Amino acid sequence: MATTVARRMERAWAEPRTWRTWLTTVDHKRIGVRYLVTAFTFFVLGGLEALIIRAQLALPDGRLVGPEAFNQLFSMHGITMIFLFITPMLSGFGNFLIPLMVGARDMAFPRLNAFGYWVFLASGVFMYGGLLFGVAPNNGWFNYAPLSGRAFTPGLNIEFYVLGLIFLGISTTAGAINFIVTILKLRAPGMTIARMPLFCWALLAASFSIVLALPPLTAGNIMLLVERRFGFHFFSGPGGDPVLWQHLFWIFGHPDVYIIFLPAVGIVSSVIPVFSRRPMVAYTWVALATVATAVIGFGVWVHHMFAVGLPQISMGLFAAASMIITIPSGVQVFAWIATVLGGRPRLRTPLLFCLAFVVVFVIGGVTGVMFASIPFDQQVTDSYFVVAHLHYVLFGGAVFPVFAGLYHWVPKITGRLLNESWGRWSFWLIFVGFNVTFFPMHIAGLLGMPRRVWTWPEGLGWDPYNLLATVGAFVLAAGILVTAVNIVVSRRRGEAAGDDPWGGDTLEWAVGSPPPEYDFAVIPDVRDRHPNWDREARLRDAERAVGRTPVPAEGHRTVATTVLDAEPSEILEMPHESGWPLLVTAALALIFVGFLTEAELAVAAVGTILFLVGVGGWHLRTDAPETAR
Amino acid sequence: MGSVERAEPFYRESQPTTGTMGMLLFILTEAALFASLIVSYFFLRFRATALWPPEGIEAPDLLLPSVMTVILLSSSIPMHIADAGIRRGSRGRLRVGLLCSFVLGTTFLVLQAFEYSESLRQFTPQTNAYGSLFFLITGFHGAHVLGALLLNLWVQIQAGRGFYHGERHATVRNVALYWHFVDAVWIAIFSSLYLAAA
Amino acid sequence: MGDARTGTAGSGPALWFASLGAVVAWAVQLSGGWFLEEVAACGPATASRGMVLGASVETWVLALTAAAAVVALAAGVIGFRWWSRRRNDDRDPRSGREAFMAFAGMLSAGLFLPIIVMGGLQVLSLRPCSP
Repeated sequence: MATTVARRMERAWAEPRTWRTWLTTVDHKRIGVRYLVTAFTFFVLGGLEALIIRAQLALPDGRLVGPEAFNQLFSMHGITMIFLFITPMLSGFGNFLIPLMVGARDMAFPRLNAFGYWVFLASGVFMYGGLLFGVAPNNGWFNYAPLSGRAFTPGLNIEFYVLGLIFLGISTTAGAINFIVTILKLRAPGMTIARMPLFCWALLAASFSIVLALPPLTAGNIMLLVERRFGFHFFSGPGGDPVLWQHLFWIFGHPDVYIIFLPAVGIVSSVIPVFSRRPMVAYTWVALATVATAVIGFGVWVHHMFAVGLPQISMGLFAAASMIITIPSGVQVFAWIATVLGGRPRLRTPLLFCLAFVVVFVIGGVTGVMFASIPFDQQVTDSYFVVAHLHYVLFGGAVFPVFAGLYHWVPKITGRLLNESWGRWSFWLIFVGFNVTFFPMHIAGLLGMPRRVWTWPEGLGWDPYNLLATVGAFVLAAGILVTAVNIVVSRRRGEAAGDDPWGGDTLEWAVGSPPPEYDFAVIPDVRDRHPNWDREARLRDAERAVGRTPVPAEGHRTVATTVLDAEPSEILEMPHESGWPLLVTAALALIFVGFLTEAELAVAAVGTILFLVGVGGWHLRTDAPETAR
Repeated sequence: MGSVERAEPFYRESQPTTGTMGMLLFILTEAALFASLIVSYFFLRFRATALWPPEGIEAPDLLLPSVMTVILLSSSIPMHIADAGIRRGSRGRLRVGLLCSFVLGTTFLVLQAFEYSESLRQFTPQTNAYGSLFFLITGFHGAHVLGALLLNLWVQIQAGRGFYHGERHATVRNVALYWHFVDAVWIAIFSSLYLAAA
Repeated sequence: MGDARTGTAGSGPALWFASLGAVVAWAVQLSGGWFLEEVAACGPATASRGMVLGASVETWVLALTAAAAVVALAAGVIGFRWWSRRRNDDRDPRSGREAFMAFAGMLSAGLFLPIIVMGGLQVLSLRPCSP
C-alpha cells in the first residue's frame, strides 16, 4: 500500500533512529516494547528469587541462605512479581495494542507515556538498589505494621519499600489515566462503547481501578514514611493503630488483584475467538462482567483480614461480596468455553495457554471462594494453602494469559512468527511445572505449614510436598526459558508473519507487522465489533488512502471522537519526541534517593526545583506563543 | 498534553478535550488520596481514644480557620471569572481574575502558617496521632494550594505573553478545574478536622 | 446530557441511573455498614456499644439494605424497559449503544441485588461488635 498518504504519514511520523530518539521517543510501540522487555527482565529476577526460596525449602533444615536474606528474598519476590512484572507487563501489551486496537495513531498523551516508562524503570532500579546493599524490603509484600515501624526494622529496608512504591505509583497512575483517555476519546469513528474490543474494556476497568485504588496505598506509605523518618504516629505510639495499615493496604490490595487479572482476562478474550474462528460468545455479558469484577473488587478487601478480630457484621458484608464476585468470573469462563466449543478451534500455542488458564483459574477460583467462608479462612490463613491459592490465581490467572499474549502478538511486534514446536514444549513444561510446584502447597498448607518460614524441621509430614514443589519450580523455570529463547531466536530466523497471521478481528491486524510509525494511513471507519473481519470497510479505507479524505491525511495528527458514540469531535495535534519526560524522571529520582539520606529536605528541595524546570520545559513547547508558530 | 487546534469539519465545543479529561482523572485520583487520609483520620479518631482531641489539647478554635475558609473559597470566584472570560475572548478578565485568585490563595497560605505557629504551642506532629493527622492532612492540602498557585503563576506568565485567546484556552480551563478542586477539598478538611472536632 | 436524537453527550439521567444505580446503592450499603459498625459503633472509645445516634447497628444496616435494594431494583426495572424498547434497533449506532448500556444496568441489578440482600440479612443472626 505504498500510496501518497502513507508516504506523507511516513515523513511526518518517522523518528530518526539515533541514540537521541532512543532517549526521547514518544512512539507508543517503542515504549510498549520497552515495558514488555523491562517487565520480563524483572520476571526473570523475581523467578530467580523464587528458585532460591524453593532450593532452601526443598529439604528439612535447609541452610542455603540465612533468615534475614530469606526475608528479603520472599519480600522482593512478591514485590517484583506484583509491582514490577505483571502490572507493567500488561501495561506493555496495552501500550503497544490499545492505539492499534482503537484505530488511533498514538496514545492520548505520548510524552506522559514516555514519562510513565522512565519512572517505572527508575523505581524498579531503586527498589533493587536495596537488594544490592543488603537492605531490601524484608517485611513481605504487604508490609504490616507495627513490624514495619522503626522500632522493629531500624534499617533502610522499609524506606526502599515505601519510597519505591510511591515512586512507582506515579508511573502506574500516569499510565492508567493515559489508557482511560485513549480508550474513551481516541476510538476510531463508529467504534461506540458497544463495539469496543474486549481487551479495551478490560484495560479500561483495570485503569479506573488503578486511579481509585492506588491512592489508599500511597496514603498509607506516606504515613509510614513520616512515621519512620519524622516520628509521627499513625500505626503505633499514642493514638496509632496497626489495623489502619491493614485496611489501607487491602483497600488497595484486593482491587490490585483485579488490576492484574482483568487485563490478563482481556488477552484471553482476544485470543480465544481468533483461534476459535468465531465471534466471542455473549460480548455484552463479558464486557459487563469485566467492569462488575473491577467494581466488586473494591468491596471485598476485609476478607484479607478475617483473622484480625473485626466485628462480625462488617465481615459479613464483605463475605457476601466475596461470594458473589465469583459470578462474573463464572460468566466469563462459560463464555470462553462456549466460544471454543461453538467455533472451529485451531490448537496453536496461544490457545493452549488460554485453555490452561481456564483450568488453572477455575481451581484457584474454587479455593478463593472457600476463603469467603469466614471460619475456613480463619483456619488456613497464613498457611501454604494461601500461597497455593494466590499462585493459582495470579500465576494461573495472569502469567498463562501473558504467555498466550506473547505467542499471539509477538509476531505483530517483530514481524516474525514464533516457533510452534518450541512453543508447545514451553507450554507443557510450564503447565506441568506449575501444577507440580503449587498443587502440593495446598496439602502442605492444610497440614499446617505456615507461609514465610525460612526453614522447617523434619518429622512434620511436609517432606514430599516441599520436594515436589521444588522440582516443579525448576521445570517451570525451564519452560519459561524455552519461550525466552524462542522469542530471541525467532526475531532473526522466524518465518515472516505478514499483516494478519491468525485472521484476527481487531484493528491491529489491519496494519503491517511491525506496524508503521503512524499506525494507520487513514483512520479506519468502524461499523461493527469485528472491524478487521469487515472486509468491505477495510477495502474502502485502502481506497481513501489514495484519494481525498475527511480524516487527517497529513501532519502529526490523529482524530478524537465522542466518549460514548465515537462520533468525530476534533483533530489532535500530537507532540513530537521530547527529552523532558526523562529529565522530570531524573528530578523525581533525586528526591526519592534523597529520602534515603539524612539530608532529605535539602536534596528534596534541589529535586523539586529541577522537577519544576522539567515540567515547565515540557509544557513550554505546547504552550508556545502564537507568533512563534 | 497535545494542544488542540480548531479543525474542520466537525469540531464540537460540548465535548471535554483530552487534556481536560486527563485533568479530571488526575483530580479523581487526588480526591481518592484525600479521601483515604480523611477516612484514616476518622478511623483513628473513633478507634483510638475516648477524648478527641486527646487530653492536654484544646478543641480547635474556629475563628481563624473560618476566615481561612472564606478566603480560600472566595478565590474560586475570580478563577471562574478568568476562565469564563477567556472563553469569551476577554484577556483583561483573564488576567485580573488570575491575579485576584493568586492573591487570595497566597493569603490563605500565610494565615495557615500563622495558625501552625499557634497550634505548635499546644502540640506537634510527634505528640500523638491527633497531632500527626492534623499536620499531615492540613500540610498536604497546603502543599496542594502551593501547587495550584504555581500553576496559576504559569498561566499568568503565558497570559502576559498573549498566548490565550477566545479559541485557545484549554490550559486555563484545566488549571481552573484543579484550583476549584483544591478549594473543595478544603471544605471536607474544614468539616472533619475543625467543625467535627470543635 | 443532550436530547436522545440531537445531543452529543449521553442520553439523559435515566439511562445513567439504570446503568449505575445498583452499583452505587451497593457501594453505599457496604461502606456505610462497615464504617457504622467497625468504626463508629464498636470502637474502644464508643460510649454505648452497638449504637449509633440512638439507633442500633442492626437497624442502621437493615435501613441501608432496604434503601439500597429499592434503588437497585428500580435501576434494573428502568434498564429492562429501556433495553426492550431499543434492542431491535441495532442499525443505528446510537440505539445500539443505548441498548448496551440499558442491558448492562439490567445485569448489574441482577448481580448487586443479591449482594445487597445477602449482606443485609445477616444482621438477623449475627450480633454487632462480636469478633
